[in-house]
Amino acid sequence: MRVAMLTPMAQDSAIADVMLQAVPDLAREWDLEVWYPAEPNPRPCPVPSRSFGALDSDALAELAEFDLVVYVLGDSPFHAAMLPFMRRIPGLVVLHDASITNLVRTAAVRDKSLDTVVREVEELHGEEAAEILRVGYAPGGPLKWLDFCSQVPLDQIALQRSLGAVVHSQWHARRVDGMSLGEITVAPLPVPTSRMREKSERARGPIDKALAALDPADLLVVTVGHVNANRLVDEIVSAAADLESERLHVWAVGHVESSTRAELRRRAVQLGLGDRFLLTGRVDDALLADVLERADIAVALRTPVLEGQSASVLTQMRAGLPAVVLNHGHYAELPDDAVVKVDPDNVRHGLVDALQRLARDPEERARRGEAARDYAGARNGSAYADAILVAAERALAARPMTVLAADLNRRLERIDLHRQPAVVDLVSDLAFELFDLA
Amino acid sequence: MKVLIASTTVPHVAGGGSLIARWTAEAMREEGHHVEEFYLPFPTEPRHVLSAMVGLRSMPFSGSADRLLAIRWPAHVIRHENKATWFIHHFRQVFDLWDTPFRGVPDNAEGMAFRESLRRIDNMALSESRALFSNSLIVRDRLRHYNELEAVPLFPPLGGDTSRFRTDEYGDFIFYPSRLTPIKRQLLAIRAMRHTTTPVRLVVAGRPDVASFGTEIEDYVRRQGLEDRVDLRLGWMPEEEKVDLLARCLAVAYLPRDEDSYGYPSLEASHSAKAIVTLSDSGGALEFVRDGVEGLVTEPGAKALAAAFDRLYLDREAAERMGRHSFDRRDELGINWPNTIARLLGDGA
Repeated sequence: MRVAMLTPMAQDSAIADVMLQAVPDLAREWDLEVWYPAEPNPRPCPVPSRSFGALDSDALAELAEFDLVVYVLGDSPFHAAMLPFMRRIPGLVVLHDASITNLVRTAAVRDKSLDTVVREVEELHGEEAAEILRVGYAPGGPLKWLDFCSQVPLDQIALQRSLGAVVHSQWHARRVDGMSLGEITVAPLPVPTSRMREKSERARGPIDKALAALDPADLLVVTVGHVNANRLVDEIVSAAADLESERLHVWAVGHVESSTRAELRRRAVQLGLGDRFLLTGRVDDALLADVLERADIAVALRTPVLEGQSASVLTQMRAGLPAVVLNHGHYAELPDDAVVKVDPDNVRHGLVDALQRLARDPEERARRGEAARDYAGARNGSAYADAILVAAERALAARPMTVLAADLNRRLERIDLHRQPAVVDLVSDLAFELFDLA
Repeated sequence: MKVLIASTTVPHVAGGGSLIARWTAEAMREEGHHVEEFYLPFPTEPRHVLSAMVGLRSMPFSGSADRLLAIRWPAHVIRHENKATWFIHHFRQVFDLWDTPFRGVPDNAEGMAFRESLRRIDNMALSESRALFSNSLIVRDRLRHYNELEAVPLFPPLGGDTSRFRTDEYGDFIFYPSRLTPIKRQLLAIRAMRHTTTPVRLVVAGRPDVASFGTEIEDYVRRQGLEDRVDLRLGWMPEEEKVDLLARCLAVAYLPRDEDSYGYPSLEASHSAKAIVTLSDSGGALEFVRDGVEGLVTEPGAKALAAAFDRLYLDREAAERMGRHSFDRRDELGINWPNTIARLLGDGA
């Protein structure tokens, strides 16, 4: 079977990393070609690959020749060039994020179709949501925009014409249930390879000094990833302060905006945590490996949850760290023996309780860390590829129904009846009866 | 009784599927029934079949007439409170022709899902039928196999005034009258003519489904230098000419691959008291023709077929004897309109 997989291949794309882990096994079953959005320095690829740009008829015709097209989508501009192809050639969608609001808005601005998307949002979510999408800003700060993305995820735009989807958690599968005529397959997202790299020789910097300055008796709590408003770093700082332990250090490892940095610093100082709180900023993979090796506890809080699975929590688990997470979204699916789950409606209390328990009991930390390492270690490119192969079979099986839906829609549109509810209902009822679509 | 006959057609393609509906309507009218015929165009291309099915299902026949008789696939999806189905074939390319070049859908999950959709629809619509008939034993068996449904075999008679058929002689040519299409294997009959050792001739008559197949056959005859022994009459043939050829031929050839029924050429041969040459993999034709009784059944190869043609040429008495048995075979199988109409309008009507 000839399959084209449209995926980012940028060096700093974690999605590219995990997809490439599946490629060797996929290529054993498929005649696979990777298409990536134009990129000056793409990752090396073990199968034939080519770049693509704006929609053009030649590329479209070439893509239509494949037996199946797989679109790999995440909520970043890396994926914007795929949407126009996806609208024309339905395929299997690998959906990494639970919200693709930013992606859809970026693509819509780019191809001047924002008005159409805004109208659709107005129909589904009301005028206020439509206006927020139109201006790309939610009054009340960054968290409000993230809340908006969670409530208006725009994933139906990617899925409504698809042959099915691959997601990475049961929670995400439930969120998108019914959006595609095809089936939703839950696949085990592998841990990004670069983040699993062993400690390496490299130049020493200020973070290394901070690491060296830690006393062996100190307890290092880390949270990894872009310091966004939904990561509740302020709550981690407050909880750490509540514990009143001079041995407890909190590090937020990942890119941080200067305004956020200043605010978090101020709060840490206020709470007496100033010299035990560190914002490392972006670190390379080798340094991350060193930090995780020294860390004792991981905290991975997200609210709202915008990804379909968390590569960063898997990375921390792979490093053998017991993780504290909120008991919602896909985090609720993590094994109870590896993570400590905190009630999202009572974050502070739950977090203090969890940190206190783990701080006091090195055996529990070790036990949970081992279970976390086993859980994350079982995730690999082969297992991921196996699930994608199953999803592809299901996608092919869905094609007759998507063709049916497209045909019916076109026929009704031709006689201008596609927006007449009575007619659409009648036709839908017949299709549901004949094709058992209920 | 008020009867609706609903069947499907492919515009400008004539075949047994449309004849059976028309002749059934005529025969019912002769018995005094009020019959209206509906021929609904239906695509053959798999890509368009599913949405066309929705259109067919929406046809508003419910509440009109005492019985609706659905004939050609998939007319049985039409809704009616007293529906009978005379099932003459599945959407064959995804069922019994799956493992052949005629499949027309990919041999993967997509093709299988398409087939499963059709199987489900057939099961639903056929189960709605108050009576289910098949036109042959082979179609009955396919319904058992693919749908786990039991149909009553009901062999369709030839329509119109059959007194037009006659027997003039047992001449020197084999006549193959049928729609010209690869599945009927006219080319095999022509290839057999390269291996015959007697002066037997072959007359092939029929309209090509696609012009290129007619051209291919003409080219083959020319390339093999068979023009003086193979008479191609491609295109629509007037009924009188066909009846005349049937009356004068030595025997009739009917060589479909795994056909759904005995085929009208077999019945026309029978009415003309002519032996029928068919093949061991011709399907429904074998329900009518027994080897050495109503005709000859050979292996599907050019040499075996040539031997059968020669044998009939050399033994005209045998050809005539088998022709007479062919004539009698219809009565043995109850192939007549009064019996057929009684069944179609009987159960549940």
